[in-house]
Amino acid sequence: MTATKHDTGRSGRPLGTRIVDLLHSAWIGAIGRRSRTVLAALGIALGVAAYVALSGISASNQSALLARLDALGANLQVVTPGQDASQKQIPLPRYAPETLARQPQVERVGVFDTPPEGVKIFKNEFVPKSNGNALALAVMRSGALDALGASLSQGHGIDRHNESLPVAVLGSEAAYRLGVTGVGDRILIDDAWYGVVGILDPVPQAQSLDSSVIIGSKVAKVHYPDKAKTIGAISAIYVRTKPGDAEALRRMLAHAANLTGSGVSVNASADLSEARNTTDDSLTSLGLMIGVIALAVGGMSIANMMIVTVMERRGEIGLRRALGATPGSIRMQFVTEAAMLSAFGGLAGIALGAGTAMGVALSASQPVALDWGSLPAAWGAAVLVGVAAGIYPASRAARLTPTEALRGE
Amino acid sequence: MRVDATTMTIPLPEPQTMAAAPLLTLEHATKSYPGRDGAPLEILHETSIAIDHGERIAIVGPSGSGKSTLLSLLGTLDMPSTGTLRYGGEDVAAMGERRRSMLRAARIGFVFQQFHLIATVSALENVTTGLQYTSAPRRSRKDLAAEALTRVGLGERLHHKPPQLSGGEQQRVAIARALAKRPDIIFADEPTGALDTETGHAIIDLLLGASDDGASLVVVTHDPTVAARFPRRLHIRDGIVTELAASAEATMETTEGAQSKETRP
Repeated sequence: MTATKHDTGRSGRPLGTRIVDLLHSAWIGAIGRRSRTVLAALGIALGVAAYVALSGISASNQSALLARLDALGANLQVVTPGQDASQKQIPLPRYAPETLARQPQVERVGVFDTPPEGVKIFKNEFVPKSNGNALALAVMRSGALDALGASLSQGHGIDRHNESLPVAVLGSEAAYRLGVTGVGDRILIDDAWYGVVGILDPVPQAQSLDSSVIIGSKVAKVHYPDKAKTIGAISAIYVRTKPGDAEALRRMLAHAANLTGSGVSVNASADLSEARNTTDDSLTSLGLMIGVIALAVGGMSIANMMIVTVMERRGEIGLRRALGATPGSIRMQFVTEAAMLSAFGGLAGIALGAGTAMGVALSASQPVALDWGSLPAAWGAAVLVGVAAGIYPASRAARLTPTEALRGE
Repeated sequence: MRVDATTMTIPLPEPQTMAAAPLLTLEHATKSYPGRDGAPLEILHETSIAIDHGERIAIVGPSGSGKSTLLSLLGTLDMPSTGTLRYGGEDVAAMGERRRSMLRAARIGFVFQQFHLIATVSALENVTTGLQYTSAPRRSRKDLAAEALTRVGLGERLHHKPPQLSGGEQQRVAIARALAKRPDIIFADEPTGALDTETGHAIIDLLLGASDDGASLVVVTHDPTVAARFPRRLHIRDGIVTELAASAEATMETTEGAQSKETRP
């Protein structure tokens, strides 16, 4: 028995061994009463799951919304003629569409020309001329609707093949007011017949088109030879750009449209750019709130369970003290056990929450998006809650004297 | 060295002379608890005991006489209200909680009446837990534990959990847990109390055999046939410890058996 004489003066255990021992004891304690362990960890799991699921659902919603916004026109800018000091319009240079199209940030360019004023548009010659229907004429160069991202509910647009023919595309509202239900009808624009080749879906990114009748630029110049010069002036250029800093983009577009950089007005086609930056994150806040509340409740249930555990395991505590455990190591053992419970609860919660978020995203055919960065933080918060919940029961365990504890069982 | 409560004046041993000095000495110790009326209730009256290396001692006495209290004091689980406990000449009260725990971890083994095994883990794991607070390297603990279990005859049952073992086997696991660290002294509090007579004697055989290689052994028992097997016997009654003469044992202890139902103080 003298072979391994132990030194009583120092604790001979290296830190690594102490940590492994601690985890081992905590593990033994935790798996010893499985159903209770699972129940205690459930609160933490639900808290973490609530946060992860709701923030994940929110992230999916957000990325779906952003995708829709981008499709609609968050990246759509409108270049229009500016005004000088006396409110007179400064026409855009003729080269503007071409220089704009050359910029690397620009994906597509669509040009609308200035329509003649006072145009009267009717379904046929029998409609009384006094029945104005507040329809506007828009004059487009070929490809403009594509650049705009406007989609057709019927028919097709105006392109190189039909731009010289008397054909028209109707905005959704215009078709309704004219009583045109299908492609193939004719309408009367200033006493000239035009065939309807397409009807647009509503165009939220350029709402004025909804109540417009659109004809090609070449036809317009032929139809209104006296106004050919006015028609040749650009009224608006729709520019679809790559996503980027809106302010810098506008400056760049202004200079591309007019090399002097002045006399040009560049605006977002709609307030979608703003919407992009202020997308709704109330769901994330809700998830955070539910998560915090559930974590607090979960922490209490762990504390409660640990108090019961400490009372039940007085015998084990007494034994460990007799075996040489210091009060400090008893305290650490129970704190570690509580932390381990919530660590497992946290992992289960992350899995549950992520699964829920993915399931919801897939069933709503939204992109799956999780806030991956927040997962370790959520887990860390769960473990911290466990540590906090374990401190009081563990201190009670550590305060027991060996004889009290040994008597307890 | 024997109990001499009135005249004992032990010179403080020098740490260097440890080998010659007794393993532990209890000097003029008393233990009292607050009673119901708030006045202190003395469970153990002034007692002085010295225990040598390798000594085998039985502590006998009726229930409630203070046997377990004395054992707790000797085993550093509790501190005397007055008086001094020294291990190797060093005052245990002055060590502080931490070093006292380390003293227990390194040098003292305990065996309890109720075994105090962790029910959810294997025999091997229970014995390994006995080494957790010692300086034995983690890697070697399993080997030491398996060796100790083999020594108590449970080499085939390393992976059984306590509920799968008989009472005698569970107590063997507890003994293996005490032995695995190769302690200087083993304290056993009624180790046969929960076992039938035959099994109890087998357990005592085991404990006596375990102390063959030099460990001191202190066993609390109220069974006179168990006590009779120890060369030195301390009798305790009403908190007063008496050293029993070899000739007195038979009469003393048969009367103890009849009185063992006494109420606790």
